[in-house]
Amino acid sequence: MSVLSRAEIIRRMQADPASPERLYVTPLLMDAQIGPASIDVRLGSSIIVPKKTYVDSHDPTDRKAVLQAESSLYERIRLPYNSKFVLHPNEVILGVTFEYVVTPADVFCMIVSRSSWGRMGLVIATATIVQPGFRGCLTLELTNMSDSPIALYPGLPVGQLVLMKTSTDASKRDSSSDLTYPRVGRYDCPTEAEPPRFFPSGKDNELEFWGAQTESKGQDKPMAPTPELDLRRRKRRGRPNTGLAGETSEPDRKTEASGTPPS
Amino acid sequence: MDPSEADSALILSKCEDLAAQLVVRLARIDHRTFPSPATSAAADILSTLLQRLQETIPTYKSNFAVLYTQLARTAKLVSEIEESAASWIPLPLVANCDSSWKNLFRSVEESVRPRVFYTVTEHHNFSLEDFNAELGHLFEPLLTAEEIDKSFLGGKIWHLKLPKFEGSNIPLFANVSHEYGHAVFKANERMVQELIDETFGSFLTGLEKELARELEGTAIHKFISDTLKDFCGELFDDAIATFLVGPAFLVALSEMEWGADADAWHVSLQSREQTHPSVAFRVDVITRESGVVTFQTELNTTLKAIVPDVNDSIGSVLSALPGHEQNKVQFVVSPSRHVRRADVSRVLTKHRVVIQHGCRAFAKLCYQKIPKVIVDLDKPSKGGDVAQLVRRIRLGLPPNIFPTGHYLGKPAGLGAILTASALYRRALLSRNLKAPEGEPLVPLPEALARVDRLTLKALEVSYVQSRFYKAFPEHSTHVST
Repeated sequence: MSVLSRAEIIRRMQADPASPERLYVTPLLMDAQIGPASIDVRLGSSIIVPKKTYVDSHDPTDRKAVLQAESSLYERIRLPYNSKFVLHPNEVILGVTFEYVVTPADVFCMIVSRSSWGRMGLVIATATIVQPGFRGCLTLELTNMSDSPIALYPGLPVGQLVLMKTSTDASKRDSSSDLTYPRVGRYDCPTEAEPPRFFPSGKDNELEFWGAQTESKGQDKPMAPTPELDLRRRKRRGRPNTGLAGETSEPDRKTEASGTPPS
Repeated sequence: MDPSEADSALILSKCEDLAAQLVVRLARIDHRTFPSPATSAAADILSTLLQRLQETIPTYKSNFAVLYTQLARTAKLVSEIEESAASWIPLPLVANCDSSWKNLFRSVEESVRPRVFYTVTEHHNFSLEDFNAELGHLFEPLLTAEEIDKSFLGGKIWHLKLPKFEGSNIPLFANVSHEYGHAVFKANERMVQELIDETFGSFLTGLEKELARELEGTAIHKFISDTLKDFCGELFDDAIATFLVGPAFLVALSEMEWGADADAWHVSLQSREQTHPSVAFRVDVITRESGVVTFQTELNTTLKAIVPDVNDSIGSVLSALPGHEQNKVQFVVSPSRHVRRADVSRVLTKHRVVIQHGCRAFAKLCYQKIPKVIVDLDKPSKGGDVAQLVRRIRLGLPPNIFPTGHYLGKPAGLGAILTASALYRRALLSRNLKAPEGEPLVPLPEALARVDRLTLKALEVSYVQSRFYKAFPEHSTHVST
């Protein structure tokens, strides 16, 4: 895997639109945004601010809650250009790049903070990876790690893309069933900041497997009681132990606290 | 029956309370959520007048029912302003529309330049109202005309209403440019009237003699004269729209009239805003006068070369718009119970050929005169350039850049972006567009949502890029024309 140099970046950005090697980062406002081995990207105008709500936790395994989350947990704001947004210490918001990016099938990308902003304590991305074949604006997880509020304005160049060539041939598609170029992934051509999307159609079904197994998760039947669960129920109802394997007269507090999955 | 003295006192108290509530509601709106500064100005003016009204209510002695009705109507206006937050009205669209507006009135000194603010409406229609007159209707005779005018500080504000229902259908907002035409018409009314006189002057003189022998001939003549002026007004507005956004307006115009009779010329004897020529006639006039044929030829030639798989479905959108036939014209005069309806309908039908020819001649004059009156209009979009934007949409890219050979490219204008998006969207709706090679077929709602997202992004970034290059021309790699 090698990092794309400025010459290679420009070559790919000027390749024929039909070429599988074509790279798009658009619009770039000035030539100087392309550095020796990276592309500076700017903050866009769309942000998402988490709301303080009655919800006690973000539970990505709860399908129903996740699907309702966008309206209950997040507020979308469109910042006018030349207007200030203040990111307070320890605050996390979602922003988006001004630029729209399309990575070819043989290019993998990472987005990181520009050092000036990093030195101020601004982290622009916690999920830094952009897969080959991505198409859209990049959602930024903006976090203020400093003790002072930071003023942000749409248009400021806060991040940089580092592009790396993978071992894949751009013209060949992966033989895996769902990897095609360009990828129609979880976020389809996003142009604004996007909240987390668990459970898009047909995906993430395994998350529910790892979550707490209760009726409130919308399952048709409650799961069969586990030894630990049954013990706790019996104790509440004042019934004697049944002598099942693994059972003790007192509940194992460590097991209870950790929520060990059933064997 | 007049309300009793006791009831009047109750109504007066209720009015006082309502006025106070409206002032508080306006004060609580966060002006940073407004899509443009003009909305803030409009809210402030309304608040000033309401506060002035609050002061006069305790001494009000006239018809209290009128006072209450006017306040109820004012409450509706306050609700519209509350709902005009940017979340309903896309900022990138407003920024581009405001820029077009400024171009239309660039020759007017900034301190007296008319402004426009935007609200959403539940009606499925775009409309532009004179906000000065709107407030005049609401507050007269509760306040004096001088008090109302004074609150505007000599300025003129227009109120543009956008249909809430079509919030994400970005290309439809090309209709905004037609509404802007109303404001331009008013600002150049004398010039336009001269064009109308040049076109219909002798016809109206002859008609006056013809109707002189009829009962109420003068009244009928007045209705016909007003109707012709309204027809011409609509054609003038169409011309302005075409200069601002190009063929995007053709597509948007036809979409607003889906389901209606394309050959019907509507004449309203009560509400002159509802009088307009048929969609088919308007499309025909625009097509002949604004270079759409050349545009379409260039579009199809370039599409065939660069995106052959969409050539037919996109290239056929403009030619599939309603066609006009002279003898299919019919005038639909309303309301049906108006005492003059039959007479007006008879006269219009009798002279329909002359009327059509006159309207066509008037439109021709408009297309010649407008570039001389409004000198800062952008050059019209070329079909080849729009084809490049169509290709970008096809590739899942925002249609924001014309290729120039340099990777920075040249930012596309409002008209080109809306036209490319309108054509692509119409092709999707016709279900003639196949998925790009190698991509899965996306359900229609998702495909449309994708086009709208990409269009809005293009409007945003191309606007910013153009402003950036005006401030820093050394970074631009193209020559602005």
